[in-house]
Amino acid sequence: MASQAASKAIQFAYNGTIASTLRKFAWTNLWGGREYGLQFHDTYFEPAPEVTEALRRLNLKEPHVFDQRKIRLSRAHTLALHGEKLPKAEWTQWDQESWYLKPYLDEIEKEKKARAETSGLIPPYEMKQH
Amino acid sequence: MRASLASKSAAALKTQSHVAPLKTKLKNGLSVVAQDNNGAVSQLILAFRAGSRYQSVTQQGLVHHIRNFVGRDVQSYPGLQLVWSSAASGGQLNSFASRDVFGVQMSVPRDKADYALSILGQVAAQPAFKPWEMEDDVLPTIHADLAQKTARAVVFEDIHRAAFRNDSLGFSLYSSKDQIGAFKSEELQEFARKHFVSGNGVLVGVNVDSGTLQQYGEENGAIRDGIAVMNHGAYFRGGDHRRFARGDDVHIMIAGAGAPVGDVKSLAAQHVLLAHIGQSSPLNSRILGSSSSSEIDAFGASYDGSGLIGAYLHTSGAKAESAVKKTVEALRAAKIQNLEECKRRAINEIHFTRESSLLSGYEHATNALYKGPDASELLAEIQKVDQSAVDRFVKNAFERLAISAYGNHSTVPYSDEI
Repeated sequence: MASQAASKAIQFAYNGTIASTLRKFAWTNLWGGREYGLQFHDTYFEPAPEVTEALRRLNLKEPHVFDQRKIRLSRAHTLALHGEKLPKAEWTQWDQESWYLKPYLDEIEKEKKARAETSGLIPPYEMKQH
Repeated sequence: MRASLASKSAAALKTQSHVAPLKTKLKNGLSVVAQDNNGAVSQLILAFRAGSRYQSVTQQGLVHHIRNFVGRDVQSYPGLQLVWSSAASGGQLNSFASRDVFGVQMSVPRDKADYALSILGQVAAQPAFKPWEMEDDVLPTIHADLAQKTARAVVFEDIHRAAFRNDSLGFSLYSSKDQIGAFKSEELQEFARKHFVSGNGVLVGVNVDSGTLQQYGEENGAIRDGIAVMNHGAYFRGGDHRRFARGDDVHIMIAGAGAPVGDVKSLAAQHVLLAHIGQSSPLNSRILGSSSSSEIDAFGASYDGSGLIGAYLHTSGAKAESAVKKTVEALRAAKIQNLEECKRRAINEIHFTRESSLLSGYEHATNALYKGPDASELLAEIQKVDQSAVDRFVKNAFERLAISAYGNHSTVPYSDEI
């Protein structure tokens, strides 16, 4: 149905009619990235270690998607710098939205769970000294 | 005294009751070998025809990366979970690779064998080769492996380069330093897709119920269907390969054409010859004299289609030339005075190997994949070896030589000078 995730591979915790309708409503009206041509995961809180790691893995596994993200962010920052927004026709559409970080974030959560259940060892990406 | 020993050993021969391994080939192409020694620890091996000889010229070092990736994430499960649950069942997981074979081996108490089999299938046949694991986890282990190489390992890899030259059998089991990290995840996955398939593999279980093994081989979803991969073949050419290193001493390996895995008669002659020129034989003291600050021992390696047999020397640079010349002389003129004693020693070695479930598991894996002879077949053939067979073998083996040297090799002669 129209408000389900555009990419069939992405599954959220709640995927029913109400949840997906709410999701679409929130994405359209309560989030400000559309007018800058961004996708939702472009504006995810990057300093969080899980997101940092997910972005690193995205770069390693799907560098093209990572580059497109960089281009979108660069364009959005230039617009914001000049106090401009895109014309309404060029705003991000619902079917263009892909939650590209979701698979990586899910995997990281699974790893954290597996770590907690097994050894409790700190994962390599958190051991690195930045 | 000798007569009574002989009669006792004859009695021992008669009473040995090694159960023959049960070999089957399933519909999906997977070979299954089961041997039950009624031991308490099961040895499980899932191996494929995916050794370093199956690398292409640009892929040298790929199998080293794949070998170090075992235990990391697989397609459907996190690696930590698999390794941890195998450890929780009392299992130990190892990956191994030779030039012909790549595989994963698990030792586990007998009552956990079916659970361990499911882990083994995933770990061996479904690696995910995730790019972030390559960077974080695998590349440091490859650096560590290279740092731990012994000098003997270096000359052993080099002797293959010398003997087999451009053939893929000459490729090293180790990745070279500048090839570390040169392989992308996609290349590793492509290799796995081609090689880790049922028609290309063997499932070996020692001290496991054969019904369990066959059921797992048929019903598991881990090993994809596929056909066996053929290798290009190789034959012994002979030559030299040298590495310089500072220092006074030099490590040398001298090899001739050995017996291939499939040729049982040559293998039998090779075993007898190795028993003659092996570590505890007169060859040692005759070559190096009583004041030996050097070491020498024999080695043999059998691969699909070719093999190597020879000796390893570790000596000082000054004595290298004479040591090599004397070794080659002794190898080429190997006159076995006491053939029966050498045959007895060769047979004993095979018996000792059969006693270890782990070693016999590895033997079963290689023999199943490359149509090698069973231990009982080999023993029977060794009994039949006579002087002329050994002489023929020696003549063919050491006609051309391969020599590899590491260290102060300036006086080591070249193979065509001897």
